[in-house]
Amino acid sequence: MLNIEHLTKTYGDKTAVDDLSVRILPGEIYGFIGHNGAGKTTTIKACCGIIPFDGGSIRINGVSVAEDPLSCKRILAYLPDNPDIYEFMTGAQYLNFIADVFSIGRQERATLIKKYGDAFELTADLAQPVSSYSHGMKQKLAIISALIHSPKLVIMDEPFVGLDPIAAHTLKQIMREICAAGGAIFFSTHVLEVAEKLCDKVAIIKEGKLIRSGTMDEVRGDASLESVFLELEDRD
Amino acid sequence: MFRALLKTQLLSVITSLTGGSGKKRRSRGAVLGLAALYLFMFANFFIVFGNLFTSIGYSVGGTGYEWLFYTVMGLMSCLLMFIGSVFSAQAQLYSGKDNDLLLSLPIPRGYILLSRMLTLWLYTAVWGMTVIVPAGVCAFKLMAPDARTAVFFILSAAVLPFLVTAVSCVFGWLLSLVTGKARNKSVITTVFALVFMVVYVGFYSSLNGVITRIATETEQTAETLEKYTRLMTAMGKGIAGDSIPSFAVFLAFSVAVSAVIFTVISKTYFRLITRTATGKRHKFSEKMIRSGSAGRALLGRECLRFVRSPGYMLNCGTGMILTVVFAVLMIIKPELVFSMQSVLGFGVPPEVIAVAVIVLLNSVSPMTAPSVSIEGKTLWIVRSMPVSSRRLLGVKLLFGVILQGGISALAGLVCAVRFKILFSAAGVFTVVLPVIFSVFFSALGLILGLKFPRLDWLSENEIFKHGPAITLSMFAGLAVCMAAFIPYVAGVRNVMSCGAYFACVSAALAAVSAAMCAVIFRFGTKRFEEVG
Repeated sequence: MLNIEHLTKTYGDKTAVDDLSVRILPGEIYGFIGHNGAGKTTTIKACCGIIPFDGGSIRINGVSVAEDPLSCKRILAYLPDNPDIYEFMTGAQYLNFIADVFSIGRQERATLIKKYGDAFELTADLAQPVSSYSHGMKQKLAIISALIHSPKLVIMDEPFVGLDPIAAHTLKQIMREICAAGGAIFFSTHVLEVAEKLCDKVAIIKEGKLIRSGTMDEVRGDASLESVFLELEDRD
Repeated sequence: MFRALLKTQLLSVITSLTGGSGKKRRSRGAVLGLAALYLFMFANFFIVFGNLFTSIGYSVGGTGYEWLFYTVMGLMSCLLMFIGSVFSAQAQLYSGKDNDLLLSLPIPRGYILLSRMLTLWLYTAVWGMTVIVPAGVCAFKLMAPDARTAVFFILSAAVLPFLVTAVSCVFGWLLSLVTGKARNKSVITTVFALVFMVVYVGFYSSLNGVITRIATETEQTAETLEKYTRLMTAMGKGIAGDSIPSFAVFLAFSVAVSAVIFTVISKTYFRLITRTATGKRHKFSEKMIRSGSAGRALLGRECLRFVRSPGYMLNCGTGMILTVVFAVLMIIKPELVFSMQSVLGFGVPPEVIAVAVIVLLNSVSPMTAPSVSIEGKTLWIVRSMPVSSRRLLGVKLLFGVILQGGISALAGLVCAVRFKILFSAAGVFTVVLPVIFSVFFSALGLILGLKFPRLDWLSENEIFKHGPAITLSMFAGLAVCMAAFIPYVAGVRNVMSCGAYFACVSAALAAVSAAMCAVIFRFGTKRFEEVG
């Protein structure tokens, strides 16, 4: 589904991502963890075609993100860590906008908006301007907008930040549903317990380099993910 | 602590000129170019006001009415400072995106307000200096002021911006109170601004009338100003040495008013900046789920953003609203244009004047110049969607052309009908030329917006007031407007018919517009992908 090979991205003298290779198969929930400034967001943005990269390749279902970004973007959904959304729109207007760009028919979008709106308990607020939403509500709206076009690959940057426990639980269920239907999820998180329970595979990145990756059992062995992560971070 | 706050505010202004730090920083050449442009702009102001005050200086010097000079200086500078700051006061004081951050820190609330007011003061003072400096130079040369006059003059130059800033803040405060719970803030703000501008223009016209009579009716002018502008008269008499107690009154009044306004505003400041803008709560229904094409959605987004943003509408839409006003005036009072003929020369056809006015109003509505910067932190949305940069830029361009071109075409059509030239070449181009100018101006604005993007703004004000794209856009638009019409007024009308001239200008503008559109779609798309 998502194939990152030897990805390299530099900002001036700093190498944000250094020769990173990750492969995500359909049906997998893939966690991406690392310290602050490790290169997670850069990797994620490069996968979504938001920023260019200096080396390597990123392919989504065999299509190169660099060569044909629009085709890739049609099947993926991106959720940033801090979803700034158009405050001049209402929730409903924003969802209509996203659905229009993705050419989702009226009946289908109505069904999905109702489904996800009810799941995240946001339906009643969709008529209000986004400017009146709390951070968590904006997060929920961003999630709904990401799901409304039934993406095959969902890429999320710290998606659980700002979500209440019910919404976080709902999101986890939806992630499993997407994967059960043949999609894939690639997300970064600092909450290692969530990664441990949810992810099929995990990659740990440090200072732009991949230092460990594999299935959850392969990576953590008999220890907890937290202790493995701390040990790897301490090694230098 | 206060210094740190003020430093942050000023850094934001500097960043808008330099582009920021690191990769975002503009080249030295670009910064110098911008600085040179601003200097050129101010130099023109200096020349205009220098000529005005030279004329007044010669009229009143040695007559015992020297105070008139300083009173007029005070009035003109206040008017210019006020119009330069009043529309940004509300955004500057109340709409900062760092409100929550600052309120969470151990900073007295009054410091937050004061630091923002001082930034506004700085901006106001810069505008004030365009009048005060040339007035000072003229006073020095023509009226041989003594040391006391010089000291009082400098004190006035420092105090006037404070007074104007305080009054602007009152307007910003009122606007914030009125629009607080309103759903359609932009419309209310724009109506407010239009009403204000009508009053302002009326006052300015009256003042202009008074100033033109200084030379011929000095005594009567002095009586009029003394009667209606007591504060400025007190200042003027104080500086001229006629009445030192008057100057003390002026100083005390200005300081007292500023202090009172600050106190009143600071009492409601916390409530206003933490107020949640909810307004009436609407109930969601399935009818709100509508479908349309991607193109319509993108265009609708541009339109909605413009209509819902008070700053955008006010700073970039006022010219278009005035174009509509002009069109209405052409219906009910076409003799307005004929009166302009008497100033320019009766050989200038009314349609030339009308088209020049429409084009001029167009050039103060830089719709597309802020359209890249205003994406701000929401740029990720369109970047992550299956929409090409080419399409996005095309929509931004189209929005500017539809709105400005549409309104200009309507105004042109009204003029063509009113002047009974609709079925002539001149009549056709009275409609076509403003539309072509809209295309040119929209393309120019977008190119400048791509060249000088600013995505990390905390307040929209930073784009509209401190962003070079808008200033350059308007400047270039005005320059093209003058280049298009001055030759005809100056003499080309003697060798070429109006229709033929309009056709030539339209062709030239169309060619330049086509080239600019090619630049946008060829190089602009790559630039857009690099922005942010």
